[in-house]
Order: sequence, then C-alpha cells, then structure tokens
Amino acid sequence: MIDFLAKFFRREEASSSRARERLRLVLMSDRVSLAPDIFDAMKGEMLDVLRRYLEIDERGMDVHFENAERQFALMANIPVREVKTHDAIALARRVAVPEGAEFTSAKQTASADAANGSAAQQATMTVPRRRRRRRARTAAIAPLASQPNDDAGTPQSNDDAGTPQPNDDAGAPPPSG
Amino acid sequence: MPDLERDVQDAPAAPAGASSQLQLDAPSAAPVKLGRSIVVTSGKGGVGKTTTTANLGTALADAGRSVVVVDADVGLRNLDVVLGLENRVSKHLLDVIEEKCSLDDALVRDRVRRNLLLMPAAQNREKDDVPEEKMALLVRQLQERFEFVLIDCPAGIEQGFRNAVVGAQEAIVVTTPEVSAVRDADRVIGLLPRNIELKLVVNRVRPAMVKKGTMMSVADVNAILRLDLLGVVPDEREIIIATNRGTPVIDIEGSETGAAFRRIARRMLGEDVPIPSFEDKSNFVTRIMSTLGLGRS
Repeated sequence: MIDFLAKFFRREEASSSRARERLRLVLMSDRVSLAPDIFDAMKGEMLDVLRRYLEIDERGMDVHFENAERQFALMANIPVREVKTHDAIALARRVAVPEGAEFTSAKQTASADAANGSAAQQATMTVPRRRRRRRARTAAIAPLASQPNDDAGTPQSNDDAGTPQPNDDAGAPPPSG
Repeated sequence: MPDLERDVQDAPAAPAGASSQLQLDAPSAAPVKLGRSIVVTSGKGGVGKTTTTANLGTALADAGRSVVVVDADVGLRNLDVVLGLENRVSKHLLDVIEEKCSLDDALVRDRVRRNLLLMPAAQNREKDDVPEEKMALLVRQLQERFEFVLIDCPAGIEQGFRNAVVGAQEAIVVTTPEVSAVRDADRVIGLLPRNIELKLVVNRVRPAMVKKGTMMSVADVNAILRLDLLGVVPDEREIIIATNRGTPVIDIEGSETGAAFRRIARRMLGEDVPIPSFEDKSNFVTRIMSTLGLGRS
C-alpha cells in the first residue's frame, strides 16, 4: 500500500532537461569530430599565435576536444621548450603585423575576421540553425583553405595585395621566417 | 475510385508500348511530368520509418494520388508486412534491377486502395547487391509513373542508406524524443545530399510525459535539428494493433496517430494544416487507473 501511494504521489525527476543537456554535449562532440578540416585550421591558427611567444615542442603536443561531465572543453597540452625573449617577441609580432600595412590590412581583415569568426564559432561551439550551419561550414573552410594564414596575421599577411585595394603595402618588406 | 496510376501511366507523354523493363541506356523519352520522390529516413532503427512510409503512402492514396512505396531495406524487408501485403509478394526490387522481371511484375497493388502500390525489397539478398546508379534509375522510372514515390530507408548510414537516398529529391527525417534517435538524426541530416529538401517528423511523442518534464518536447528536439517541422505523431497503443493486423493505423477509427499521419499527408500536398498541441488528456481518474495498471496508457 505504501508502495502504491509512493508510486502515485512521487514526482518523477524532470529527466527531459537531462536528456537535452546530454544531447547538446554529444552533438557538439559529434559535429566537431566530423569536421576535421575546421579543427586542423583552428589548431594551426592557435599555434601560429603561440609560436610568436613560445618555442613549442610540436611533436609532444596534444590538442583535442573532451566531452566532460558537465561541459564540452578544448583540452590542449602543449610542451614549451622555451619562452622567447622580449626582443624576439617584439620582432615576431612586428613581422606578423607589418607596420606599413597595419592600417589597411586591419581594415580589410576586420570584416573577414568577423565573418569567419562567427562562422567558425557557429560550426563548432553552438548548436546552430541547420541550414546556416551548412553555409557557415563552407564559408569557414573556403577562406582558410585558399589563404591559409591570412587571418592568423602571420607573415604572409600581405596576401592582401591580391585584393582590389590599392596596394600601398606592396613595398613592405617580404616576410622573413 | 479512379485508377489514377493507370491514368498517369497512359498520360500522352508516355510513349505507346513503352517497355517497363529497366532500360539503362535508352534515351530519355519525351518529358514526362515526374512525381515527387521522397525518402523516409532516420539513421536509428525502430523509430518508425516503415510505419511512417506505410501510413503516409496510404493517406496520400486516399487523397487520390497515385503512390508507390518502395522498400529499400534489402535483406530485412518489412513494408510488405506493415501494409499486410506479404502474401502477394513474388518478385522484388533486385529482380527488376537485374532485369529478371518487369517493373509491373514486381509491383504489388494494395487490396483496398488500387492507386497504392508496393515495390518490395529482396529478402534473401544484401544491401551491397544494389548498385546506386541502378537504384537511381529505378526511382526515376517510378517517378514517371507515380505522383509520389515514397522510399523506406533502412537503418544505418551504409550502402543501404545511400541506395535509398540516391534517387530522392526530398527527405522526411523521422525521429523520436530520445537522445539516441536525435543524435542519429543529426548524423543522417549531415550525410544527406545538400540539394535534398528536408522535413522533420517527430514520432512517438507522449504528451503526458512532455507535460511532466520526463520527455523532451518537440521544441526541444527541433531546437537541435532545426528542420522544417512536417508533423508530430503521438505514441499510441493503436499502432501496435494496426501492425498486428497489417492495416495502416490511419484506418483505425479514433486513432490519434492515424489522424496525425493524415494531417502530415495533407501538409505534403501543400495544405496549411496546423500542428495541434496534443493536450494531455489524462485527468485524476485516468491517472489512478493507469497507476493501477488499468485503462489506456
């Protein structure tokens, strides 16, 4: 009888929210593992930034997504051989963002960055609208594939000279290293 | 009921005496108005693809359309059983593809609805035996003769899935409000060709559980999949009874599930039919009854 009453009055746990949360996490990891090209591009760009400041042991590094209990996380284990000197960092940064080109290229890439940034974010980090995700994926892949280092601000950034903009920065020193 | 399938077949555009054999390299005849080819798919098994295909096919036939339902589940055919046509199957899809028989030899006509036909799958063969190009050609041939070609896709994402999808212009993705079904639906959506028009059917919804918060709602599911919602089908005991008998659930009077399938068919025909909110009909008394194991779930 008590059993019966318990059954009747028991409030079942609202497990649908648990289902929603599990689904959200599992799909994020599914979708990321299905887009290795995007993942590699992101890893490459992250490393480009890190290399300006650090000597990295690339063979020992490990970057992956992890579906932890409550959140989906990017786990990175990147062995550092050496922290660069102040001067080396300054040099690396100057090369990365050529001074002469700074103004125009900043302006040019700002919109591209915004577009790519939001697209990439949609493709991986949120659960985006389906059709938009499809477009976003191609949008995110295309510029990365054709101009691999453009947005990373690496030395090749005067790829911008190829755009119809007047190339004031055509005379900028060729990138070194 | 007029024999619409015959009407379509005898349409002036069809060349007189055209062989219904698969002609692989025959030049395409004068332009025929093609029917719609729609694959019913889900990724996960057991979410109700076959039931959906059978009931939508039947409802579309009731609406006066000529319909063929194609069982693409080679090796595990079931559409014949759900439609109650299992005793009439003699030839099958692979016989047609391998030119062992004509299209008409393989097609099985429904007993009640003469404008509904079934293309059975082979039971003693494997999915890899079907070449994609020939499957595409077969679907195309069916489109020339029928207004609707509904393809029942097997579970999985392997060759059987590719064969079922290759000739389709539209896809109905069936899912249930469960983590595993939604996950697989998401995967399948990513694998479908980009030019396919996608629609979502959420099957096996239990409004009482949704209300209690013990089942994900349709909104929860579609917040993730983000497809055009074609319909919501409530879970009901009638579906089991209908399958036992081999009659489509839309023929069972008073069935909510059947009514939901009929509404979906009308939406497929372009009618603007609202999706009801499936109010939880249980009250205090029925809750006591169901707690005691009496009455309907």
